[in-house]
Amino acid sequence: MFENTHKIICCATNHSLIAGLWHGTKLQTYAVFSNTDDDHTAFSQYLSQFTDTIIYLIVDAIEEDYKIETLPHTSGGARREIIERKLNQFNRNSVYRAAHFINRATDKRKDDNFLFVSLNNDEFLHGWIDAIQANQAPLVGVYMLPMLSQVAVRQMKLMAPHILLCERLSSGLRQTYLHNGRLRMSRLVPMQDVKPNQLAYFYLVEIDKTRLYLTSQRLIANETALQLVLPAFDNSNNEIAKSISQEQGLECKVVDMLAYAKNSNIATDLVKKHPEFLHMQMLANGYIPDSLAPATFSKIHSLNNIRRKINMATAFVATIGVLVATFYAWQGKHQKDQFQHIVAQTQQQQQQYEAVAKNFPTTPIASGELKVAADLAQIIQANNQSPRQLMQVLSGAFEASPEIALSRMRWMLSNDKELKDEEGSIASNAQPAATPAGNDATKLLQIGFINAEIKGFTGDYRAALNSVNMFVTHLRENNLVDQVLILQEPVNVSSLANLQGSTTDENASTERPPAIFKLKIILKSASNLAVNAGAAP
Amino acid sequence: MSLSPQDWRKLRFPIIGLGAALILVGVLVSFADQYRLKNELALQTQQNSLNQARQKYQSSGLEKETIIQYLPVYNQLLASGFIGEEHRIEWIETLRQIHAQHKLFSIDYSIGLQENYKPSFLPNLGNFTLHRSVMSLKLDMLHEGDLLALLDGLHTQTTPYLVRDCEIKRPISAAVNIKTIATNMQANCEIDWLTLRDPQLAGTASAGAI
Repeated sequence: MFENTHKIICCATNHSLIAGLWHGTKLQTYAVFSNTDDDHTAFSQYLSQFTDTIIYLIVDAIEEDYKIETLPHTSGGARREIIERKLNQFNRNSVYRAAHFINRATDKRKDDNFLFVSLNNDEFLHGWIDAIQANQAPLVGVYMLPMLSQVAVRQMKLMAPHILLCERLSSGLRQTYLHNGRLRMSRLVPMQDVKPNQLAYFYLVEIDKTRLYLTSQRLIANETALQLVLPAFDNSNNEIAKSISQEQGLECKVVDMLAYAKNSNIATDLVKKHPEFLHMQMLANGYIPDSLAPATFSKIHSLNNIRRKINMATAFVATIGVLVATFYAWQGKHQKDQFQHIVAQTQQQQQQYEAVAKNFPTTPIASGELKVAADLAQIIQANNQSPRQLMQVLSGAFEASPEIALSRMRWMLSNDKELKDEEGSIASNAQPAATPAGNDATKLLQIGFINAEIKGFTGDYRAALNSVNMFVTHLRENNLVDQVLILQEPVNVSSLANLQGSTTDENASTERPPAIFKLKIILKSASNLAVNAGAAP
Repeated sequence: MSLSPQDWRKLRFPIIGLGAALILVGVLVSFADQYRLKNELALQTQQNSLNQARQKYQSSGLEKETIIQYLPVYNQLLASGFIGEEHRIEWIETLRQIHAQHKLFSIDYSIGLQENYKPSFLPNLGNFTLHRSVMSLKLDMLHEGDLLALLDGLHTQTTPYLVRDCEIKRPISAAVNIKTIATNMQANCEIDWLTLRDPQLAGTASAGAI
């Protein structure tokens, strides 16, 4: 379900392939295969023992291509697209190719510097790759050996700006040029026919060739101080270093590879025998450079990765779900326990109450409801009024104005001060109207409407108006009265209404229309009266 | 990297496993959550019940006092007909008595259908429902004192009511005849007959009747 900690790391040269099985960062076993059909079959059988073990393949090839290119700085899909286009442009025929990001330029544009690497001839790989694919083995990637060499230089803390690393490998002498610790170029020279006493001369010649190549490629200038780094397993390299220093005038640094191998957790005798193990160990230690293999080659590994991630997600979901569900269930259980405890407490309280309530008088409803019923009856009784008060108020005013006779009186109980008198509407009251804003909803007011007339009206409108005004003044003087409104006067002298008549009206003996007027009287509420009575001296 | 049908087949079981895990976990969490919420709600309800029970026990002294104070009032209201069914026959009899006692002219009455009533001046009805029957009275009068005598009589002898609207009319320019006993004016009144019902008691009564 989860990641297999075993991995197979292979290093392929033109003539052979070393395959090692690592568990974590520890080499377990290894095998060496020649680049022959028989060994291809043997390699296939070897792989079949380790199903689902991921495979890394390091390539130490002669025919390589390195090209430095500056691209505009992009990211995401645009970056992938531009890199793909450049790869097609430079290495159209190469199956194994990669764009290795070096750094960003320091100029204004801050372009991206890339090193485009490719294998120009991958025929020697076919047998191995076929074996891997035949076994459906999960190939993670194919890597250039010099890319791991640059990691080694970085780890050795070699900080010179121009380094030429000369490694003696099974396949020959590999010279890798690094600028500021970054790989720029590498070349491998086979050295089968070189005798030990010719080694220094061989190094001298090959280093000179490389230097010339670097100059021609303008990677260095003639006067550039190149530091030569010679990884050594014994003292033999000291002689070579001395010779090169004298002849070429280069600074030569011999590095103890056995000590480095020990630090890298790989057996020194193995590294002596196969120096490539050092690079393989670096990969095992987790330094994974850019892969040259096309995506289709590592598809099985990608699928395994996806499958592993899905399985991890499943495990995560299941774990979180179970944890959350357990937490909820625990909370529920805790609440249930609390509930039972509270139930017991409630029963205890109820029993205590029942013990006390035994001495209570028997009541058909709750005590609170008894009070509500009594309060309701009291409020209704308090509001139960008759027209008596209005009649008393009117009686006083009529005594003071004997010329006025009452023809109609309407008394209403309402909490709406704006109530209107609609004659004939007495039987149409249903549910009460909503209380207007500003009026006290709990207070019912006595509102009266009266229709009256001037007795013995002779057509003297001025006198009639005076009588009405006097009558209204008498009403307003009564302490029980809150407001008196004249709804209709004997004659409407308003400029907003028509006025008709005859100048002979006053003297005419014919029957005149009665001088009728209408008033609205609002009596003070009982509470207001109490306040007024309290304020009175 | 594009995936072929063969690749999808390889991923089939992990995807099904993830889907199944999601469903199972969803169901499991949902059940656990429901269990928790159910218990939480029950706990909350029970906590409220406990608070009420405590409150009830603590205020039992006050409750007893309230019962002692208001039970007689309640029984009185029950007897007067303010709580329970309307006593219409008794009301008509009272009206006839008042008519006879004060030697009034004939009184026409009508009592409308009882209906639910929620007046704004009675904001707290508790668990009760208030009912109203609108009564209309129409009477000829010798003078306005007849109306007052009638309303006072009703006020002393019947259940709580509210006189909401009264209109007294006298023919325009007509002189009051004080020599003979005859109709001088006419009154129309509208009275709200209010009764209370306790829904629980009403329910019990109906069930008992069945």
